[in-house]
Amino acid sequence: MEVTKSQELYQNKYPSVVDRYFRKKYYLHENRQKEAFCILVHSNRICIVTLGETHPILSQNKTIQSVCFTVGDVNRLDNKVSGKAKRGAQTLTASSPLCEITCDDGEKFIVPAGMKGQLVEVNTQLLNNPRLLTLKPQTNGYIAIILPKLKEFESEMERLLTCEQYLSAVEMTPT
Amino acid sequence: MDVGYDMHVFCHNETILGEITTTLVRAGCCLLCILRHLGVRSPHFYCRPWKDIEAYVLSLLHSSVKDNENSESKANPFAIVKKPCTLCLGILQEHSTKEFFEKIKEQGDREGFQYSSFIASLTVPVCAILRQHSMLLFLKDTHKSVYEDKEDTDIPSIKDVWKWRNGPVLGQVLQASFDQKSQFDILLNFSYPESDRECGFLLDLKPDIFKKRKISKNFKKFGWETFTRANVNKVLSTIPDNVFRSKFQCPPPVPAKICTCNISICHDALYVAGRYNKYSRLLSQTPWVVDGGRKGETSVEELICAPIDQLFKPDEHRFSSSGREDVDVRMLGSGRPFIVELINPHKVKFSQQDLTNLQRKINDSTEDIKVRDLQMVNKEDTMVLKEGETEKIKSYLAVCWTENPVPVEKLEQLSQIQDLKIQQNTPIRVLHRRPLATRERVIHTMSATRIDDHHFQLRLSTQAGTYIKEFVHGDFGRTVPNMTTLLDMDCDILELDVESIELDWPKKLEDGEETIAPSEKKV
Repeated sequence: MEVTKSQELYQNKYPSVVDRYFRKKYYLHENRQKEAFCILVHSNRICIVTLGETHPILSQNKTIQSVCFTVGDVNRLDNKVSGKAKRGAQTLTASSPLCEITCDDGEKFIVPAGMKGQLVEVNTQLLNNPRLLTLKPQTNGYIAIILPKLKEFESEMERLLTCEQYLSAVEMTPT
Repeated sequence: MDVGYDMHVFCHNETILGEITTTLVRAGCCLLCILRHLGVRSPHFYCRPWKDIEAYVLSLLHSSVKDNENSESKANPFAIVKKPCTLCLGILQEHSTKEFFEKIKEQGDREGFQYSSFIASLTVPVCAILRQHSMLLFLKDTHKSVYEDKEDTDIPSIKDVWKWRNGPVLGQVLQASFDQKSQFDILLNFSYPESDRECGFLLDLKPDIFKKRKISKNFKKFGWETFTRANVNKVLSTIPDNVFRSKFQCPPPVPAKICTCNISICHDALYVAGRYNKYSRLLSQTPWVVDGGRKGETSVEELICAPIDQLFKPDEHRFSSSGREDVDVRMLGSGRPFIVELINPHKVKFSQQDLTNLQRKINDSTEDIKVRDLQMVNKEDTMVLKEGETEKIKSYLAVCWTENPVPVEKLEQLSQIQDLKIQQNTPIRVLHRRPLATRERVIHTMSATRIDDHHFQLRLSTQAGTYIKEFVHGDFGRTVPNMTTLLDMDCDILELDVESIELDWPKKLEDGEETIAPSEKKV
């Protein structure tokens, strides 16, 4: 390959990793609609839970103090999966809590799974570096990786909001 | 005739031999089964013309019936043997004739096989083991002095005798040599409808051993099998003779039917190896099927295998290579070693020139891939390929992009780094079909060449199994360190090429055409 390349290579903006491989779906907290979550859906069915653009943590530029993966009576850090089939994974429903985020101002938020599926991993980088949540909310600041069951994948995708549905939903949400 | 007194038989007293022969004839044994039970184990003797063998057995009969007033067997000793033989159930009779060999040849021709030598593999009905055991017990009763120390294994097997007698004759019909090392195998599966019933008493005797079991993983295709050669032989040695006699007729009953034979012909797998280059970023390595529909018109595998299949006409092919590249990654340099396993090829006689022509045909059919060093290899060689997948060093060339302008010094610092250990979590890209794990991989060397403020070219040599794209963009921080952490700014990969795979296999061919891709020809 030559260093001299055809012109189109020298753009200054390219679709990002997220743009290239994922489509975005949204989940709003059942009671507190302001709390939005963006689920990045890979073409291979892997789903990545992230904070939604309008989540108060992001829209109000909050500073995160800590992220805790022990919620209710389960510790998400205990999740262990083995084999291709991810045996032994914790099973999740849309409202299963993944973690609790504590902000500097004392406010706490629970992050729900947003969908049915198996928990593959939680982002342990957040334990030492909770700022990733606000610095890179859609990449290194992801919260967890979920693998929905093949049979349930389509129906789960139906239940989640599309980008347009999300935008119109948050517009109508009273602040 | 010269009956060959130097020939090995159980007893050299002609009168006793004659008496034994009479016993065997009365029990309904065919000529060859008589010879087996007399202990003849010279392949040469079994090859003699039919009339010689007949004359020899007749002469033995005469020596015994001299003083025997009953001349029924003397008059027409073989009338009884025209029926299916009590012991071989017809395998050494109807299935040892020219007509049967012609049938084999016809089937081989019809299926389009090419061969110059052959072997035959026989599967004999399981009940034949019991019948032979029964006959030996009977002989132990009637001719104790000769048979008391004999075991089932002292009697030449039906299988061996079939091959001794028929190997050369079948060879003449097939115009091929009978060769134990041949890759062309004629499978003769004999079945006798009453076999399971005759074995039935074993089930009551040893219910723990004769459980219904799966024959193989494909048991649905082949059904269930209770009695096998292995378990019947094993049990037979543990059953006391008197118990056996009470359960199974001695001598064995005359069979009602002749056994049938299923002929299947196959050639051992052949292996074609070579190296390929891929110049397209839209071509996947193997057929890419998503939800039952296919993506992409063709694939490296199909481009290589279609002409190979046309030539070798196998039942199926199995393509494998030393690692694989993504659909959007080019494979440059001296190419990636691959091997095509051809299952049951029908055409097999090819020279290296034929392979070179085949290579040209593949290369002429497309601009997207090129093949070199196409050759036949042995089965043992195929191991090398998989070793290379995990152990060899691979070199890559990537075009990278940074969000912020990257200082030249930072790029230069990269070449200082040697044998960088990275921790790679299973990339999200493949996480759906691979276990989750953190793997340590080594980036042996790196060097970057600036293209402009935001672009640079990154040359890498890495341990096999390193995911390069993830090493550059970091995969959400799941590969550490990565280019983003090394440069301290967001970094992404735009293009990737595999430059070399350090596996010196298959051997380079001297007269192989030099294959240069259109895109590489440009200066």
